[in-house]
Amino acid sequence: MTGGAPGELLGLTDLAVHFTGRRNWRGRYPPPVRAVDGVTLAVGHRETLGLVGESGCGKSTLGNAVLRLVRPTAGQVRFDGRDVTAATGDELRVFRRNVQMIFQDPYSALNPKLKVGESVGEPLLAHGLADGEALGRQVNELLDLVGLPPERATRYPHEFSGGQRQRLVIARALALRPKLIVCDEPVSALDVSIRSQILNLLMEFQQRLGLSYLFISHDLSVVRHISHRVAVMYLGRVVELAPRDNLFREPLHPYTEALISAIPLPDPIQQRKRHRIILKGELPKPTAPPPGCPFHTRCPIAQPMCREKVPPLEEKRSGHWAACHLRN
Amino acid sequence: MTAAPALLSVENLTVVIGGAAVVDRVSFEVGGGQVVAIVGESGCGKSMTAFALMDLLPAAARRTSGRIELSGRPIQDLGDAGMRKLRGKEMSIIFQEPVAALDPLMTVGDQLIEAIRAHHDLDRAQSMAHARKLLESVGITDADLRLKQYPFELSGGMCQRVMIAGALAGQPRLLIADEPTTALDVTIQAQILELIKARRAEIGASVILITHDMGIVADMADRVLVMYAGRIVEEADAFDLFARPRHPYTEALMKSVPRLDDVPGTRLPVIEGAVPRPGSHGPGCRFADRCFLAIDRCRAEEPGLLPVDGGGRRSACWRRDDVGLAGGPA
Repeated sequence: MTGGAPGELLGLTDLAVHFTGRRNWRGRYPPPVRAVDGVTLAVGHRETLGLVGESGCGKSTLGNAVLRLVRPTAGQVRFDGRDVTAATGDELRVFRRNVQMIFQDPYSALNPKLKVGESVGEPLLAHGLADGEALGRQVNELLDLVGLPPERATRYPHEFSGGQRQRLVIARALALRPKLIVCDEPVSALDVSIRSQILNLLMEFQQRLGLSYLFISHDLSVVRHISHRVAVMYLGRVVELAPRDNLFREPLHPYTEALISAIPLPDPIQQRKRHRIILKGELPKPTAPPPGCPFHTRCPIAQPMCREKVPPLEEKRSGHWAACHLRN
Repeated sequence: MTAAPALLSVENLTVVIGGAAVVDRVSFEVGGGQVVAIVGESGCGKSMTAFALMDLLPAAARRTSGRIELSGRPIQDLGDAGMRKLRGKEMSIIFQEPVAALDPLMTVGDQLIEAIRAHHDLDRAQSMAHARKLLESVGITDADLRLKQYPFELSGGMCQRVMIAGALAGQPRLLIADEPTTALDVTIQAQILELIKARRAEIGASVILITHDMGIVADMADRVLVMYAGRIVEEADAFDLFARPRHPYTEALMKSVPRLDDVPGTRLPVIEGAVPRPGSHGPGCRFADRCFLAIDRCRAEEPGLLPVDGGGRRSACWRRDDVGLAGGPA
């Protein structure tokens, strides 16, 4: 399922987001930052699609483009079969009721001057779905849902720990009963002992409420745990897309392979005899992506052709897509 | 630990912020050439321990007790001038935020020269040549260009390489690495960890590695100290620790993190609640309220860090013999 498959809830086709800089003193524009460069993906009903990649690969920009927090330069965003790429007014409002977002930093995602109950209830108020007593009742239900005592609705964010704040952010995201939540690094800012609480909560809500997630993270262990399918991004492009087990058992793209091998296993016996692929160099600048395959500058198996032609994302096995000239 | 005298020995170290102990009666040793990991979550006191060793505590923090010996020589009362002679030459530290830890107004070359000339009697040209060699030793290929650049022109991974180059310029016997790869991407993390391993082996330095990542511990450490709410709760050889934790916090920390070889989609074991704020814990074990093994005694009486299993292994738990068996936290 990459294109417009029947089970799709969210569909992206050739989505691109390019940022143009300011004009310089000569009146010329610098080369645009190609943050997202032709991404085709789909998220199914009740599915979690994990989106992994390193900083600067465009994964957060992609999430923002889905929610129309940034305007796509090209391509299409579909939701529930409707093209919402250029949606405005009521259409955009309905779309945003169905798609919510959870951010990385629960400390900055809540207004410090609002009582947390007001923050959690704000979407309901903004969409005119509840006010007065009904609003209070719904806020209490939402707090209860995420495991916080409703009587704390009148407290301020600073009185909550990081994990509790992330619960509040989740409660707010659930307020409008969305179908899809874009989770952008939802546990990265949390301590390890708190992460599992939040991951369990997200998995539980998917079961109970039939949610879909676009789960953006740099942490492959977390993504593997929570996702049904996984897409790997590099320099604005999806380089591999596969069902979870296929991706982790048999990665086809050399970048995915290196990413997996770079994660230290919490087991000294296994870890110390493991073969690790150490990539040379660093991520090229997205203003000047290398010609050909974006990964060829760091790829351990690159051949001359990789410098010349961009490899298309092809279905190499059933449901397993990769963008590599050399792996089949 | 071998019979050889310890390179670093810390006894009864306490660091206080605003009346509350953030590092509380911490004692441990680091042997020559050893990699000792200090693991724990934010606020457990692992970084404060490191800063106390370097005498680089923030203004709000104060060391109220503790004897720190480096190669058998007490250094806790050396003061600023004395410590300055030690830092860089005997012991060095690298930080979590490499970009923030470098001086933004100085070129990489000037910062390295400063570090070199603090310990060597070299003129500017000689130090610049030495700085170039240092950069090459940490895998920076276009050293001449980098020497002229400012930190903002370098990536995070590159800045961390520069920090490591500077920290190792004086060939210290002890390198303290405070979350050296937390701010970096995984492929860059792998590069930096390999670099630390290689350079450590070359100069034969001991390393104190501060991290919250059990994977990094498994990859690098000879010995492990697990800290919780300012206390060391467990100390063990790395292989022994992973084979069977002897403190419920260690066990919970290992089990609650998703790993590449677990069963996806299943409920993860959870440590309920949160770390107590410094000074707000009761008289007993600080982990008791979150512990699946806690009994009445745990809430009433603080367990000492006592030997278990031999081999210098220690655990601060009344139920140390019941930890790490089948079952465990869920």
